[in-house]
Amino acid sequence: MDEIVEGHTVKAYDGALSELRRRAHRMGMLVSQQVETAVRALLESDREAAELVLQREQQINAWQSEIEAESFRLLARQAPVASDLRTVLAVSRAVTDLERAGDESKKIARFALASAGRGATGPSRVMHRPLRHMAELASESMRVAVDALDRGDAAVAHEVARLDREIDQEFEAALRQLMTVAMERTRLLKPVFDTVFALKSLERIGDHAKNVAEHVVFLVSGADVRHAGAARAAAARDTQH
Amino acid sequence: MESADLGQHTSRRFNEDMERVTTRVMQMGGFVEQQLERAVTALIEGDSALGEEVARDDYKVNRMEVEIDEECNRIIATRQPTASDLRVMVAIIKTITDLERIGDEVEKVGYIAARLATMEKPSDNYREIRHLGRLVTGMVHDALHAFARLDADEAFEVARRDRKVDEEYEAVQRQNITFMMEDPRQIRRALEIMWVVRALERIGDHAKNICEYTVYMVHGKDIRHLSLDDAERQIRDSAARARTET
Repeated sequence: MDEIVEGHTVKAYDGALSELRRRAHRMGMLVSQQVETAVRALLESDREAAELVLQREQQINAWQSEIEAESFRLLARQAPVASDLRTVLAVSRAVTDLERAGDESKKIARFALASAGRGATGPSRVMHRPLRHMAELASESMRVAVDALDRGDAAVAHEVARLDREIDQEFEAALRQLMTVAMERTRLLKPVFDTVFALKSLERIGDHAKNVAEHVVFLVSGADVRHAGAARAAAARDTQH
Repeated sequence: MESADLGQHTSRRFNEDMERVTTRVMQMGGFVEQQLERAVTALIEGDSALGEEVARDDYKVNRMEVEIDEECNRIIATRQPTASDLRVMVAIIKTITDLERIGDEVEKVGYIAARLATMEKPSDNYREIRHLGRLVTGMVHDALHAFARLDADEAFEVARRDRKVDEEYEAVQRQNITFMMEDPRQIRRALEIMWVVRALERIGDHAKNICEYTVYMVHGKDIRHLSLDDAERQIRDSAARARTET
């Protein structure tokens, strides 16, 4: 089975590794799609769309378990080293973030179901635009991040970080606006709370996409860039004392 | 593939590595617990300096995570652990991820405590938050205890407490909304409190995750997407099957 290509022995597990990435990519694309479906369900009081998100969430969970089990099997049987080992570790970290991002869409879908009920209230009208815009950004950054994971392209990490900052700014602006709504219409506090949490979910999805992009950097270069900013700040502080 | 002697040699080294890593995980856990207690104290006592200190110290948690994670990757690469040892490594890597996230939630509570220190305290002096804080601190502590002792039964017991945390969370949020409706001047503070309660609820979730990794380590079973009752039943059944087969 083995063949010699440019001095490398192409083993069966090279195929297994790219298959692992392909599956993580497929899972990530569904996670990205879930974000937009969940928010659409919320804004249009679309019960069916919300149910669909909840149903697909099961699929995402199942894929996470399968991909992790496969990663584990590769680690135990093939004992991969260097970049192959990094691929397996990066993919298992990435699917953890993907699953958690999926959870956030599930929460939004539950809010959508609750607010589509009789007599319930959904997000106030002024929140529709920020919700829709944040959903687009979060979904887009997730798509960019998982594409990078599939291709092993660390260069897009900057793009994902930029999208994440944009999401954060939108989130802060929406929160300030929502505070005014809360003060003016105290009867609507429950939907205001739920809207805050929906916005927060979208903000977290942006964080998870950023994490996935960081796992891609680790996969490609072996550098752990998590907390890089914080670590620099801490180092600066340490030298001050 | 390898002689028995070499195998023993490798496994002795691996055991030493494992002991060292486990000690560091426990140190990290101890520090996270302490951070959590200090953050809740800062909020309740209105101690803004303490709140800021807690938030500032989160970088230490992050640093521990990165260091332990690198150490685990190194062990996996150099020792090539057997399947059951590898399961322990995976559980450790996952546990420190959750500890780091608990650290992030605590950091938020620290910042909020610092901001709220200048505002008037609520009439009940955060009784509900104190209670919820105790619940989740206990969960984190006991989850780590179960993890260190590979005690799946204790892990199940701790994981079940998360339901209580969720109930308390709902109750506090409802009460918080009522406060706001009665006195709209309280809205700014109540919204901050909402994030604190949310952070505590999430910490409970992370503690539950750690319990699930302990069960995974001991029984080799992924129970994350199962209910606790189903998970316990399946583990009991497969243990019974294993007994009848031998």
